[in-house]
Amino acid sequence: MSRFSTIIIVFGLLIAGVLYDRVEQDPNVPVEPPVLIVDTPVLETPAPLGATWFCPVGSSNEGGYASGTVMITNVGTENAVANLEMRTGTGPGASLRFEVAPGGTEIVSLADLGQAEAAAVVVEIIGGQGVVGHRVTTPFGTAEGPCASTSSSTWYLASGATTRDATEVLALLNPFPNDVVFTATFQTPTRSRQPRDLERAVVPARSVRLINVGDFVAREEVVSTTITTGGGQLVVERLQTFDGTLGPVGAALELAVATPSTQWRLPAGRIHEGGDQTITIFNPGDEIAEIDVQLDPLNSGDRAEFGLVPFEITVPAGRLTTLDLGLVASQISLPLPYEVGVTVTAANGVPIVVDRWQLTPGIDRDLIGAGGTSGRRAPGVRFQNDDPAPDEADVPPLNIPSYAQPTARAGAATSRGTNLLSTRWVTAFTTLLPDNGTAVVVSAPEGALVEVRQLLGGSLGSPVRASVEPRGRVVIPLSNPVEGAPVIVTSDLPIAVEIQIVTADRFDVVPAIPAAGS
Amino acid sequence: MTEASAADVPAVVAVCVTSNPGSQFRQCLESLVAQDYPNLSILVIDAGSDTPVVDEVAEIAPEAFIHRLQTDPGFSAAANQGQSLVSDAPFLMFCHDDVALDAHCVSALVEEVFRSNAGIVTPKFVDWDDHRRLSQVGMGSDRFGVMVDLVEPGEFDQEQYDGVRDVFVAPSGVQLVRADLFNTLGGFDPALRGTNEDLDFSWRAHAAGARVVVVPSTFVRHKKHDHSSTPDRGRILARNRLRTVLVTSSRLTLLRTMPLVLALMVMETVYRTVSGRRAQAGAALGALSWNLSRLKEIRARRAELRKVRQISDAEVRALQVGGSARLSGFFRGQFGSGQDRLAGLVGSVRANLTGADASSARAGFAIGALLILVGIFGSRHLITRGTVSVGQIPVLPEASVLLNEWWGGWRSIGIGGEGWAPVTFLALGLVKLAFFWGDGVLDLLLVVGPLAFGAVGAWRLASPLGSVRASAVAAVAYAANPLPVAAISAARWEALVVWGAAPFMVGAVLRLQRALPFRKVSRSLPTRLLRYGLLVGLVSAFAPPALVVAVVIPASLAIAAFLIAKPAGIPSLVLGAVAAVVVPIAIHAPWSVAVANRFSWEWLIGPRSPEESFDSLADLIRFAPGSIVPGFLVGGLLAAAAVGLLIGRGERLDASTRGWTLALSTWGLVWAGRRGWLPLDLPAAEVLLPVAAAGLSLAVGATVRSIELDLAEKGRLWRNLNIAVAGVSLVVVALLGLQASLSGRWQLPTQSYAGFTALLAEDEGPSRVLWLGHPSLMTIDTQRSPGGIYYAITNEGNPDVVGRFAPGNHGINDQVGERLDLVVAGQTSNLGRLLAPYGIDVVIVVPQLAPAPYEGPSLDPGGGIAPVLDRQLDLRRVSGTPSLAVYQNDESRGPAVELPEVDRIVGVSPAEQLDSDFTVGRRANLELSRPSLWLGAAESTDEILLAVPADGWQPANSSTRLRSSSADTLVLTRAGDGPLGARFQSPTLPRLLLVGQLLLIGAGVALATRRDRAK
Repeated sequence: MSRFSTIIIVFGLLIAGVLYDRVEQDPNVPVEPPVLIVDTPVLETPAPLGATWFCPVGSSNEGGYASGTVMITNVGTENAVANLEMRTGTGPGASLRFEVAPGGTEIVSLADLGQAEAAAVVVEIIGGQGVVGHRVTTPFGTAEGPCASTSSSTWYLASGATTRDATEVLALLNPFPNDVVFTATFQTPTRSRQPRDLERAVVPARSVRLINVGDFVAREEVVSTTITTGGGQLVVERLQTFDGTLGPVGAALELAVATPSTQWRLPAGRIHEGGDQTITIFNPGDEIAEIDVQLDPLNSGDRAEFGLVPFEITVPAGRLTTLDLGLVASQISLPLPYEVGVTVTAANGVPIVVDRWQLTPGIDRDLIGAGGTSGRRAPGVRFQNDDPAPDEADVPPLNIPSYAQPTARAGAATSRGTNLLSTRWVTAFTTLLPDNGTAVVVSAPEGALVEVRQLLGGSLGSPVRASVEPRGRVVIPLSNPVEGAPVIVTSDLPIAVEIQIVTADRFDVVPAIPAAGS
Repeated sequence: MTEASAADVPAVVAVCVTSNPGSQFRQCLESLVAQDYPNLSILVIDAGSDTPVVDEVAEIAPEAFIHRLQTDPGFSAAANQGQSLVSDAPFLMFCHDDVALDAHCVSALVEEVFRSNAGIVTPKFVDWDDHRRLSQVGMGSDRFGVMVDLVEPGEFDQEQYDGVRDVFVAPSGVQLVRADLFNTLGGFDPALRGTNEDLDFSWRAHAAGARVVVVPSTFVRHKKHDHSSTPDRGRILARNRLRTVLVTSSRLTLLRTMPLVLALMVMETVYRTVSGRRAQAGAALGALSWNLSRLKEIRARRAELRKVRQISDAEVRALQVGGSARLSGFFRGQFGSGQDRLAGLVGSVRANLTGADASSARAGFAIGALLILVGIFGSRHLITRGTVSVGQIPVLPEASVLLNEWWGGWRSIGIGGEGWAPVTFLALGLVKLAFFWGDGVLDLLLVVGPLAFGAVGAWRLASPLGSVRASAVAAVAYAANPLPVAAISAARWEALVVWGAAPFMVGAVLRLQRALPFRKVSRSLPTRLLRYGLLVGLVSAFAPPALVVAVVIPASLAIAAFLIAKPAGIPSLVLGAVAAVVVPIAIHAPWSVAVANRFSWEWLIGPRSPEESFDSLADLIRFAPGSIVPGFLVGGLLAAAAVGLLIGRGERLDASTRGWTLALSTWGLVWAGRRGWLPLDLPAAEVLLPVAAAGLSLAVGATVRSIELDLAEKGRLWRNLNIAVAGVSLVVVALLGLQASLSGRWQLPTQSYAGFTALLAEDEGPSRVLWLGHPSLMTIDTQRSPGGIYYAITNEGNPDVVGRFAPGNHGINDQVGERLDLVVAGQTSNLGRLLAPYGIDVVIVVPQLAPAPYEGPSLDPGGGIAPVLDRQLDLRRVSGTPSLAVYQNDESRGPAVELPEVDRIVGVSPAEQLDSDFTVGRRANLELSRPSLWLGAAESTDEILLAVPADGWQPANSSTRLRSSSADTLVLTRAGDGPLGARFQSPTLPRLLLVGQLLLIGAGVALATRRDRAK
């Protein structure tokens, strides 16, 4: 080959390669989809080797601020071993190791483990498929809720009250072997506060620290809280109590939110006369949040009848906004009491946290109905654990589109809602009250066929089914359930589920636990 | 004087020392007898001649005295005999047996000794056969004990030196000494045999205040002997020089001189080694040890000199030549003349070239010297502050550990287990032994050595072009390439090894192909194949990706063969590619067989660079990612290489084309790999690109040679234009190298994690560390869990090189990766409990190549493990380790733990392990003696769980019984009083195989170095 050819080949290849490289270089680097961080308690499916649950609020001493009971339920079909360790304000406390049979629930009173004003619990469940919840008894009522299955370095609570009749206690559990430094910031509708005592404060390793928010932000009807750590991770839970001096009385437990989300669903709730029903939306980010609030009635025909279109709210960065649902109902002339869920969506994609408060004043009335079903007492779902389960194909869907529980005379319920939809939910630990006192409230954005069963001795009981239309909602009361046996809610399409507990003197909304990956 | 009687003149005794004399002895005696000095006596000392010289002396000089010694003690000791045998003579004249004195010699010397008031006088020495040619007119010396001729070799005597003058050394061939001075100085140093006895004596005479004078008005004929072939000549010279310095220098002078002496010794050793005179390379070291073993004797002689010293060292120093005579000689081409291959090469080039080419050789050596200086300048901070162990820069443990790793049958990788180790550890162990005196020097050589090797290789690669200047410029072009700096900056030792070897590999393939001008080889094809295979085997022992490089080179040259329409060598290239794989596999057996069983392509090609971002073809052509190196500097390199294509003719054009083809094909290959066009991943860019760099340096060499030979035939304008382009390009290339040298450490990070992790070793009892880090950040080979987490396990301390060369996943270590995956999958928040059965009590996440101020990118250990660790309930983050995330496992009691009921407590499956509780046990007082001995006293327990695979272990003593636990770990059970211990026992067969491996390598080397003739 001649010199000329060689030169042409060498430099031709070089120049062509460089030019081609420049033209072909794709400036758009593919962006990996963001990883969804699930911070709500979830039931891992399939069951993990060892699931760890954290229950920050609780006390084990006599007359403590929240006498605690922990309920460990094995919704799996194999035996589980539970290691329960108490964490007090000064470090590790007593521990307990026991087995939990399939479908069984073990209830442990913290008072049996030792005396501590602050007694959080860490439960590790090996084998089986465990879920853990807890119940606390305060001088003003009982509250219950699931324990947390994750820890985080940031936690948010959209609402809280420190008025004269209200006490907001935050329990900060550090289950890890390193001290965690944290900073707490409080936001009221008018100002932001960062108390010096809670700036770079410490939660010692393997201990729990209680914060009475009223000590730092007094006499506020709505207080948002942000907890951030300087590296480690915590679990944060709130106990809100009302002593009745200004009307409502009761207690409510709520796990803080680790990761704000652009959509929250709050299926359970109602608007009734004389009640105090609010939605608080907290925007902890740096951008303004454009919010759509959608009411989800029991009867889809109500949307057209009452003009239930989403209404828009703007929440400035770092601020909170409270929406009075009673006021909304009066503006659109909803007949009260009115059974309704709420879906809050950030239209511009700015993550937010929400809190729905339902305070029932101690009015001197009997239980009252809701949503056009006033006074009607539909028979609840009766689980038949003794009878053989009928052929599943023979079980018709339960047509209870307009059923609603009565309204309690007193109580305080708070809910942070759920940002997850799942086709499998567990309501394992809840105090299952007979006579329709406990109901499963389902919200189905795409509609769904919902099936409710109780897990009895390791096998499922007979199913109860309900059909939910798209964007619909259903309340399924549990009549005469078996105490301590978990309830499994499954559906063909993703749904959101909450548990609503209503008695004459108690009103509570408890999150159900979704199964991850379903 | 001639008319004077004996009574009028002082007596002179001529002490002639002889031993097995030659034919000159007769003339020597005759010349002594013929002296016109009236009071001359002759004393012949026969130093153990095989045939006594008494008859010869009786015949020629019947009045001479003869003293016979039974053995030859050397000239010094024999001459000293004269001191005791002669009395009352005021002058002694010592002479060799191969001199013939001018008849007036003694008279002239005595006359001058009085006139000059000298202590020692010596005549002019002329050639034995041609008295018109000067041999010596006295001698000089530098302060390092090296004697310097004051006349040029073969210089004609035109009376140009015929004036009496002071010199530093009176050659021992003939010297007249005042007897009192001789007695005061204690005579010659008897330990100095063969050389330097005259320098030592004259030096001491100067110190004692005596003058040493040369008397050119008289002469002696001297038969010069060629000592170059004398065995041990270099060794004797080196040790005598050092002894002379040690004896004659004052303490203060010694403090200043010795570091320089040692530095010169090191330089000389390196030069000898590189130039192929390995036998003489050890002379400097031998001199050191020889003198150290005679320190007492040296001290005594120093004390004697102190007693008679009259003038200071500074005054003596003023009489000596400045600088180093050896260095000056080197640059004048006299150093080791005819002694080494490099000088031999230069000589042959000189001999075959015109005067212009001789200037080429001088320019070449000047460029080479500059290259060395720039290398030293660029390494100055590494020299003064040391290297750091980051990334792949090897951390060498004790030599015994390295040797045991190869020989012992136990691989210390991770938790450990039976296995083969590469012969690399044998080589490294021996190197470590050789550098017992200076770990820092070895560490430095491991980093900068490949740079020097690469430059030498580029020199050799271009040397068949026939111009030292071309070779030197090719070496500069290679050394100035920014690629090795990028490799050092990223601590990519594999890339550095390939960098050092690539020019040699390219040269070997060109010789294999018998391409012009590389055809001048005298070996058959099988031998050339074997040589290439052995070279690849050697390189791949330290850098496994070199196997891929070794295939790329012949493939590229095959393309070049098509381009230049000379396909004859292509079959050889194909065979070369085969040999590059087969021979290394053979010589690395049985380790290579183990590698094949767990073969992992990912392991073979090695990790990517922690800093690599060769995002575009332009980056590849620049040999540096992004804006690290200004493009115009590399442009100079390309331009210099391109000129050869334009002006070269014949074999220069072929060489240029081959060089460019190597460069283009390598760039193209790497580029195609990065764009995902190839079915296989390739080694990292910096591992392959040395081939392109070697190709370009060959092309640059061809450019220089073309300018020397081919431009003469071109027009003036064209000639000047090309010279200008090439000149500017080469200046730019030089700038490229200079700018790389500015950092003083070739961009190697300044800090390592070793300081932080060393704190871990302070824990009580043995410790086992789980390292989580991207492979390109780690000093040792990592494993990859099924979930994509990179991890490695070490026993105690920092990871070192024994954790390298471990392909694929292996043994019980795999289980650790599976446990990590479980944690990432959210299966548990108690990783510590899962790791406890494996004895892992520390977890370290390595985020970057080095701690601050390093500013390189952070790399994740993969699999999403890093953030999960902070959520483990039993892993306690250790503070005080910036840049590193260190976790203490609260659930573990280390790899040796006393447990009350081993089998009940320790589970096998992950769920069982999660339910196991090692916190009921305690850390056993066993110590790990690497690589495979655990021994210690267990105080209060009968059973110790040892987290190692149970196979191959034996009780270390009678008080221990061994069994395997349910968890496939080793349990030491007490069988009597005494310490508990276990020792890994390597079977005999594997050791026989290792011996066989050595024999195979030896046979291969013997065959490859055999000189056979090509058919």
